[in-house]
Amino acid sequence: MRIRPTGLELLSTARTVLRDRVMPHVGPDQQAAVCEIERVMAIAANALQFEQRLPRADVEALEAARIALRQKLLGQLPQDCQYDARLVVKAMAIATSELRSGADPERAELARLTTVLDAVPQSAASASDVHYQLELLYARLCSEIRAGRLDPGSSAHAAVYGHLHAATRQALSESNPAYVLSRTQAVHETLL
Amino acid sequence: MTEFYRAVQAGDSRLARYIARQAGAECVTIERIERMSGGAIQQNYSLDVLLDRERSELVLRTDAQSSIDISHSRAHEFAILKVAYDAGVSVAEPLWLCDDPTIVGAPFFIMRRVAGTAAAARIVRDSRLGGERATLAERLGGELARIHAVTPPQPSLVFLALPQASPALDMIAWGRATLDRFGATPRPVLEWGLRWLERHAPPPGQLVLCHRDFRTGNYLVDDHRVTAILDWEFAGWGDPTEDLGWFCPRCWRFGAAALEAGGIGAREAFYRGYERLAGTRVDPAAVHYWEVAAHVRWAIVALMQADRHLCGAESSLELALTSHIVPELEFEILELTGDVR
Repeated sequence: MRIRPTGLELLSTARTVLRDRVMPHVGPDQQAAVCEIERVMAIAANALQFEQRLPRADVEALEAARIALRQKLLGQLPQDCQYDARLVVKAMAIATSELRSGADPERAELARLTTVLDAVPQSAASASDVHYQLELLYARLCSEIRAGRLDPGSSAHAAVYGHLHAATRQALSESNPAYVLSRTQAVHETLL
Repeated sequence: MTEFYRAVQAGDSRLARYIARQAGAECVTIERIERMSGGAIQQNYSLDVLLDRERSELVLRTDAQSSIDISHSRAHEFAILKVAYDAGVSVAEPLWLCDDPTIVGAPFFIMRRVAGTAAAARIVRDSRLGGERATLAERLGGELARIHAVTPPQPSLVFLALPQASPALDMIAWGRATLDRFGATPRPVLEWGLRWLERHAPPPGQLVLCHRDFRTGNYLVDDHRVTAILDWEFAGWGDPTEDLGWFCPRCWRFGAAALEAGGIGAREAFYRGYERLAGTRVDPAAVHYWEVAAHVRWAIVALMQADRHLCGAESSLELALTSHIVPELEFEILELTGDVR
């Protein structure tokens, strides 16, 4: 389940940081580039707000804007606001991942969790319906774990562990894809 | 914090007059004041002050715009710092505590400024900092042993509550109560971690002063050695192994995963330095337990910090992004508890 603040909430805050704390430090020849980055962020935030599937070209525009900010502009900013700009880059990366995958990961997660908990499938048409259903089932799962009903020896223990591992890897693939890679490589090295 | 700067930058500011009274100086001039980096919960300001023409380098520590409810007040942190200083721990000498909010807008204390850097990524990356690395790890183990030499009761630390059940069970109860406050967003992996901690909880043992945030990023080093242990805002009576487990987990190695002692050295060196001064053996299984606890606790604190942004108390992209550390911590919790014991 996606962690809050989601990409949409992050993008909104990141736009404010870009406008108020980065823009004033940008030279006149780079202002147009930063305005363009903010415009692309606004389009993406709008799509996320209304749960619209953003055209692929707009998603790639957000990714291109992130790369431009990181590779071309960040190094030219005064030290004071480089940290802010890095935070903006990070927020854009998370939002881009969410836009690329849309509601599919949460929908798949809901289907798996419904099976693991042997729950009755509910209809979930929109992305927010899916999220709501996930919250309900995870609240139930939390109660079961806390009560000790999924301890080692229980029939669902291994299945729940497997589900949580898969869901965590999915969350990581949006929050920090490099981390998944580094940990997977580390595991391979250990096995070898 | 413009109000802060307005309050202190005037030539005859309330802060200058306060320092003059405390230092017994006739003339005090604040030559320079600058916000120091770091400190999401507290804010530190570097002060260069002329006390009757003699220059003093000081740090003023005060509250951030909003704080989380597990951190100490400045008065309590000041008292803990004094006890640590008297116990021989490398800390900045605490000088004056001021609980009058009219001086700079919030309670604060002033301590001597110690040279060095605390930037974790830089310390991990630049192995010339802090002296030879095995020695640095040993010295940090020694610093921790000095902190743990402080045991209850301490007259000046009566505000520190003793554990109700045990340090481990208290931490689990705190974790569950805190997660319940975020009822709309269940975190099953954190529940999984808390249940594992409950099933493996050690019995109550010796109580010592625990720093509870003893990690790379919270100590200063110069080119040769550790110069000060920082950030005492979470300190309390607890199980000494808790601090060892907080220093070592992957989440506090800042990318240097192979250097298991805080990304700066080997566990063995850190443990050696600890054992030498503490006179006790470190139990690796107990450290493993507290490393699971460290990931769980840091994840919950990260959620609390993000909540400061989400609830509107403090709009901050930095705080908002803190919650996106949680999946990494949850991954490690599952890895550490996957042995189905």
